[in-house]
Amino acid sequence: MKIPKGLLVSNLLILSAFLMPVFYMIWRFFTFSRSFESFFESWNVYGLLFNTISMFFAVVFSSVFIGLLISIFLVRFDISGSKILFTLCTLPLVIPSYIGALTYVSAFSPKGIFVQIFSFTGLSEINGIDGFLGSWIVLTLFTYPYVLLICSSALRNLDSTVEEAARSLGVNRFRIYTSVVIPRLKKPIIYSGLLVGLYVISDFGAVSLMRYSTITKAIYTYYEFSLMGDPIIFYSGLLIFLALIISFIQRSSDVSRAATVSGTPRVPAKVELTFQNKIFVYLFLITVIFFGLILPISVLSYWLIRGISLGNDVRAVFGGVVGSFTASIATSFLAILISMPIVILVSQYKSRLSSFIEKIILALYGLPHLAVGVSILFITIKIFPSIYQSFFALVISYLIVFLPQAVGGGQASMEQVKTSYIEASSGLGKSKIETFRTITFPLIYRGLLAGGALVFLSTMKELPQTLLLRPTGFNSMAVDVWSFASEGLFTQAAFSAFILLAISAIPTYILSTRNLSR
Amino acid sequence: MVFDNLIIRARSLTKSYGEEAVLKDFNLDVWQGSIFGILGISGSGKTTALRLLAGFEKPDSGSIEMYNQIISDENTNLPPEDRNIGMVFQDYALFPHLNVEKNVAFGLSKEDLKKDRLNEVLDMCNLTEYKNKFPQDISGGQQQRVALARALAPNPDVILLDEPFTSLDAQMARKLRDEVVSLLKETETTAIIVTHDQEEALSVCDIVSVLEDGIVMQSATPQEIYLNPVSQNVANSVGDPNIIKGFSTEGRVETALGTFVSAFNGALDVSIRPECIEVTLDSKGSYVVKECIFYGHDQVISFENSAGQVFRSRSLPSTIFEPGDKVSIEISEVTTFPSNT
Repeated sequence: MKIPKGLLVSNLLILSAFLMPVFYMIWRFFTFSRSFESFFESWNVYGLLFNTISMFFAVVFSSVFIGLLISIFLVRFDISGSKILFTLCTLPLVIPSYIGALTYVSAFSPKGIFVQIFSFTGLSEINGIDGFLGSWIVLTLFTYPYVLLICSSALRNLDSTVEEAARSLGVNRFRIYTSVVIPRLKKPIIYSGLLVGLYVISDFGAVSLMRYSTITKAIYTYYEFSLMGDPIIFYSGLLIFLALIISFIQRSSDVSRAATVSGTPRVPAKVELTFQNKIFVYLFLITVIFFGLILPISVLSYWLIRGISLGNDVRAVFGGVVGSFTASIATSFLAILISMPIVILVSQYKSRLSSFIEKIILALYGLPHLAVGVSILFITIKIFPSIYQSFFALVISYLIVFLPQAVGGGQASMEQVKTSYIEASSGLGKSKIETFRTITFPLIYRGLLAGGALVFLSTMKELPQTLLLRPTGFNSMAVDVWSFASEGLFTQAAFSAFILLAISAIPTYILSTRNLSR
Repeated sequence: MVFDNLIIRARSLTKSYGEEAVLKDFNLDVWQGSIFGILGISGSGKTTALRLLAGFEKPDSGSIEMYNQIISDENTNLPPEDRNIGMVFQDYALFPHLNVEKNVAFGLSKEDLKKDRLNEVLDMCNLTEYKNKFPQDISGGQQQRVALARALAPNPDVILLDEPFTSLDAQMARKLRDEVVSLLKETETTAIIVTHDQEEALSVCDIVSVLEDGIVMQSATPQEIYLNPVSQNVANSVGDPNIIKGFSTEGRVETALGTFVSAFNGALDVSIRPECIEVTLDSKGSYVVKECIFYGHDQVISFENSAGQVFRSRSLPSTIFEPGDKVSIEISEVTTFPSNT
């Protein structure tokens, strides 16, 4: 089918605008005033790289371990209350890493809540959780739900005939998991593990509150001290490079393209556990739920109540609430609008060009927010000074990283619009516009809204881009949480964190569980 | 039945997708009020022909006229919404967000709606009781009716049906086929049905075009096609005849099944339909039964001659034949074609 000119032009325009930050980075990389090697000599590049990569491996490993173990427990074993346990185990994903870090930092500081509670035992000071250990714990607790969601849905759809065959060949019930089940889950494990990995290397909130030096933290430090030269570009480029490698490997093990058995998979009967084993499983699940959900919420509540009883002014957080809402509404509205031509091109005019555009959009999703923020910052300073530190530039930066969510929502619903519907409509005498109004739009608007809602929530929780690009006087809830927390003002931080969670938790949970366990 | 008003005339239509020529020389004359069938196997180009007529695709060359007005050629291409041609899609393409009533009303104008055309069509297609249901909540047969009602509602000049009964089970297909035919006849609607099912084409259509490899091989009444196919391929597409090679001299051809009259001389194929061979048990017969397959309404008997050549006969299941039985045969009708090879 021939692509209408208007559609093609609007797609190319959107695409080139959205690729600008990447092109700008590449251009800067080739025009450094000094040799490339000198970067590696003069700064602590190796140290930062080592810190970032070791965090990557540590968190990916622990998240996969916890996520996979819970998947097997809840899907294959006969555990009563498995549904509610599943929900509780996936809930930590609604907690942004900086809120999680805030609760851990404040609870386990040398003289923090933990010490106060256990002071009757004579405990007066502990070492405190921060640095590598703190970041590792926090990032694991708030990312393993991605592994759990993806692996448990894959496990549910895994046909059990092969396992039965293995058992008839004499492999025992528990070795089945290491010899048959886990190897067959290789793709979802790699896919979800790398999703976690992408999250880890891009994370800024948790590592900065834990004072652990990674590439993202270094970038922000340069920004804070207004050292806006080559180094910050170099680190941002390095970050993008790492992210692209990870998302490239991740995409190649895309679960949605994995071969599936036709028909309804045969589901094995749930395995009965012995009493001791059951106790072990419950203890494990309860421990995870305690640290991932109960502890952070309790700590937050503690600070909230303490703040109120101390008479902290609640009005201090109003600015952030208003800012978050304004930015999120603007971004999600524009994301829906901009995603429409892309969705139509990608799903209605299948061609080499449209699949190329689809791939580019998917790649945008993996871009570290901080690096995109840096690029936009430079572009506004050097090329478009008129929009430097403007609300407009901030929204553009959000759009670049969140557009894929809107496109995904639209695309999923566009798949329902079969070509024959459009043909049937024109065969019944309706014009193209009339067909769009009566057939296409009614079929896709829910998907577009769902995509828009996801963009809304993501924008609301976004931290690093907002820190870099916010106009003077602009605040968001995320910025409030982070800046109060990094100054140790936990009661103030808890206010904003609580409002943010109250607004975003339930919709985030619904939308992400729906998207990830498809 | 006499048809005297030509409604669609297609001449020398061609269509290629990339390197592959799907339609090579497609011609068609459709008379008002008739049911026209296009019979062909998958890949013969029949669906493409339908899409060209509907206007969803443009022919590479050739022309389509409707009421003597050109609607498609190199310079003109009337868009589908202006052709007043209805279409029933193979997958029905019912709009999933609209209920039965709204689906059927989709192509109706405000005036039509005022004149109560909607209820008339719903009633005609026996859909009134389902009108508030959604397409996904009704059976395949009902969905088919909705698709037909939706296409019929705006009173199209012609209605196109793309393999309309293939997604239904055999019994349902037969029942609905009768319903559809009587509905089309009642409303005097001209229809073009594309199908790969010979029984369907022969029983439903007034005129059948046999399409093969993008070319119309023969266009005629079902009886004519069946009894006087112009080629062996056409004969094969509307039945499963015994084909025997022979050579004719002086208007006579000798074959393994006897000597027949031929209209021409030279190498030829003799085609004998199984139902034109009557087999009787005969201890002095020169043929031996190899196999007998029982179908209920009839049976097919395979038998061989002394040279080991095997032929098929179809007969009423009144006599029981066992492998090894000796039989004699009587042939009532043969057709001869110049040999292909």
